[in-house]
This record gives sequence, structure tokens and C-alpha cells, in this order.
Amino acid sequence: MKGLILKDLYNLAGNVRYMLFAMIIIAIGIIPTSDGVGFPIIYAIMLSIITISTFTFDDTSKWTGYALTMPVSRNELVKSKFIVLAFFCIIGCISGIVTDIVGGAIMKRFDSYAENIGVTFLLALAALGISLIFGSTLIPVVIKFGAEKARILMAVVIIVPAAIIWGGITLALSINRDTELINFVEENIFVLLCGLFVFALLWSYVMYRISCHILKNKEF
Amino acid sequence: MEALLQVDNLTKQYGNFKLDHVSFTIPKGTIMGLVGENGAGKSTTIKAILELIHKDEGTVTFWGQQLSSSKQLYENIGVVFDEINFYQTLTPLRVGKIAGASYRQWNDKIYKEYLKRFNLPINKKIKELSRGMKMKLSIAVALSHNPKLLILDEATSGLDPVMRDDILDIFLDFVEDENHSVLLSSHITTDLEKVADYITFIHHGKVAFSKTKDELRYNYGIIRCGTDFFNKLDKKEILAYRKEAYQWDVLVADKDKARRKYKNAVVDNATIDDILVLYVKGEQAK
Repeated sequence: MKGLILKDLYNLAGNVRYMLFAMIIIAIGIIPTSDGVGFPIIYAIMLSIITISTFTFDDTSKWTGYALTMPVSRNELVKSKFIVLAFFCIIGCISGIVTDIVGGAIMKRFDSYAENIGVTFLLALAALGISLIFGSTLIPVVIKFGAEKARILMAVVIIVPAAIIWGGITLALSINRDTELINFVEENIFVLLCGLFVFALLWSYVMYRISCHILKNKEF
Repeated sequence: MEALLQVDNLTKQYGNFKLDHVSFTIPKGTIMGLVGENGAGKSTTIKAILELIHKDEGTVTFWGQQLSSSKQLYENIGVVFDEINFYQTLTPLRVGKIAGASYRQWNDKIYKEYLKRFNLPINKKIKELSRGMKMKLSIAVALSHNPKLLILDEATSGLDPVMRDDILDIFLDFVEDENHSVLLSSHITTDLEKVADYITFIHHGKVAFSKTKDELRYNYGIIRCGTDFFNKLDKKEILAYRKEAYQWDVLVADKDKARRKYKNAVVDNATIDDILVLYVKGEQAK
């Protein structure tokens, strides 16, 4: 399985400079105009998408069928993708935290710095959870339909549920303006974000099992 | 002889195509050529052997064991498909590192020796290599984890004759060790005439024959004759026949017998190409 992970990292190495460029542009655009606490989420999701692009490389070179002639099982093949996903989500979170801190220092937001750094770490935990849910939901879709078709389905799989959740939250907030809901969220934010992270881990495991089942039945 | 790979009644239905009870055996120390027209079922057979597709029926055993029963079996099998399966931005150096991390039996010294022997630049990206160099890289990877069986699916197609000759020499070197064998699928029959010990011919998903190359080369023959003569031939002796512009070409399994029996007929030696064309384009005797 080490070889599978190494292959994905090498394949992605060629894209690192483009991703770094995009991250810098985003940072330059956001740092001067905001409190700069959203980078972990932005970067973690960006890098979770990059994991999905490894499937494009695999499809182009007909890698999966070849990999199955090596001493690796189909389940290990799936596992390696989830490990690469987790790796890039963590890298995204860390680089988001660093950007937040550096951005804060550049903009001399030292008065709110102590408060913001706490928020940054909390958001990083949420970012890790959200990016894991995002990436792990896409993996079985890509395995089932291939990288090309999955791009189209990405909208259905990710954007539609995200829009529904966002709409639901907005609606709930508009109905319960300055009432218990906001208070409850504010008071229990740490527990809620930890819960989100635990849910993300459970969700990823379910997606892993589904991916294994799909790959088991796939022919090359 | 002890079988290294045994395929029994391998069957797989794909819509209108059926791989139909394919059976053959590869003894140790031999090269088996798998021939057949495009779409005959060669690649499907190899994929079913490697469990890349789910077979409907039949058994495949390597050294007497089913492939899924042990990871060690995969260590002993080197596979080369018709194109390189590493992404085009990788270099031979990185390909070696990936394969080295995948196979316990990986020998980096041997790999580097192959790269040197094949004149493969270690830091050049795959996309910058010629097709021949890509195939050589695939073969170098397949040979560098000390496999005992090489399985190659159209690995020499699209290569120039010099490059093909180089690669065929590598296979001949490989089977000098009597514990090694090669399964080589190709529609370039001249390659197989050069290196194969056995020929398995797949036609419309079925094994038309699986014989030693020498049996085909020394026993099979083609009777060239006119219509009157053709009508007098004993149909039981005919394997396949085809009407050409001015004559009939008739494939028989025993050319010496045919020469003795039909003294006035022209009986030529049959190449694997001739046999393949007569089976595919001609009609088979009932």
C-alpha cells in the first residue's frame, strides 16, 4: 500500500506549484479584507479536491487494473485513497492555520489576535471534518463512475446537499433570530465542532466500506 | 512437465461475446504464445487469469494455487499490458521507487541494470519517452521483482522490428531459468514463431488449438488445389479451407500424410500466420 500512496504523492507533485499559486492568490485576496479566519476551511476543501484528481491520473494511465496485478488487494487500493485524502485535508488545515497567523501578523491585528487564534484552531477542526466529509463522499462516486463522469456528478453529490444544509441553517436562523438556537450554538461550539469531526470520521468509514464494495464488483 | 499456469474451462459472457471454456497449460521453462484475431478474446483471457474481471466459470491456478489465495503469488508474476500504466509525468526513477515500495521482492540493483541496458534515462518523464522506451520501462519493472511468470498482453505491438527483436531476446533470456515461463499474447505471429514453445490459438472466444510450435511448424501443411481436387479430398482430414482467386487453400494437420496420399497436389509448409488466416477467414470443416 505504501507504493500506492507514493504513486499518488508523486503524481500530485506536478500540481503542487499550481495549487500553491492558487492558495497565495486566495490569501492575497482575503487577508486585507477580512478577519482572516477562514483559511483552514478553504484550503482543506481545496486540497481534498486535489485528492480526487489522483483518480484522473489513474484513469488516464489505466493504473487501477495494473495495480491489481501487484501484491495489493482491492480494499488496500481504496484505503490508500482515503489515507491520501486525510493527508491532504490535514495539510490544508495546517497551511490554513499558518496563513491565518501570518495574515494576522501582516495586517497587525494584534488586538484581536489571541481571540482569533483560538477561532482559527476551532475552525481548523471543523475544516478537517468538512473536507473529510466532502472528499470521502466523492471517492465512491469516482470509483463507480470514473473521474470524468464524477466531475459532473460532483455538483449533485456535494453542492446540492451543501445548499440544502446552508438553506436550512439560514432558514432556522431567520425564524429563531436572537433566540435559543444561536445561544445554544455559541455556548456549545466546541462540543459541536468536535461532534462534527467525529461524525466526519464515521462518515468516512461508511464511505470507505461503500467504496470497497463498489471496487470489489468492478472489472478492468 | 510441471504446470506453472493451468487454465481450465475459463468462461466469461460479455453481451454478445463469450469466452467459452478456454483451457491451456503453461509448463515451467516455456513461452506460450496466445494468438488470435482482434477481439478473439486474448485480452479477456489474460484479464480473467489475473482476476481483473470476474469469471463465470472455470479455474485458474498458478503453481497449483488460486491467485487470490496468496499475496506471494503476485510477487512472482510480472505483468506488462499494451501501454505503460504509470502516469506520464513520472520518471523511471520514481517508477522504481513506487514499484520498490509495492513489491517485497523488488531488486533496485537489477532495475537500474535494466534501465542502463535499455538506455532509459532515469530522470526523463514518461511522456518524453518513445513507445518502445515506454514498453522497455514496463518490462524492466516487470522483471525487477524477480518474477517466475511474465504475462504480456500485446506488449510488442506498435514497436519497430529492431526493438521487438531486443525485447524477444529478453524473454528468451528469462526462460533460460527452467522455473520461469512467459505467457505472450500477440497478433504478430512472426514474434511467436521466433520465441514461443507453445501456441494457443483463440478464435471467437474458443480455443481452436493449443499445441507445441514445432507440432504446428513440422506437421501442419496447406494443400493448394483446384476445385475438382478439393471435392475429392477426405473432409475428415481438413481443419480449415478457403477459396482463393484461382485455387483452394486447405489446412491439414499432417502434411507428410497429405503428401503421400495426394501425390499430385502441392502441399506447402504452414506458418502460424497461414494457420491463423485460414482459421479466421476460411471455413472450418464440420
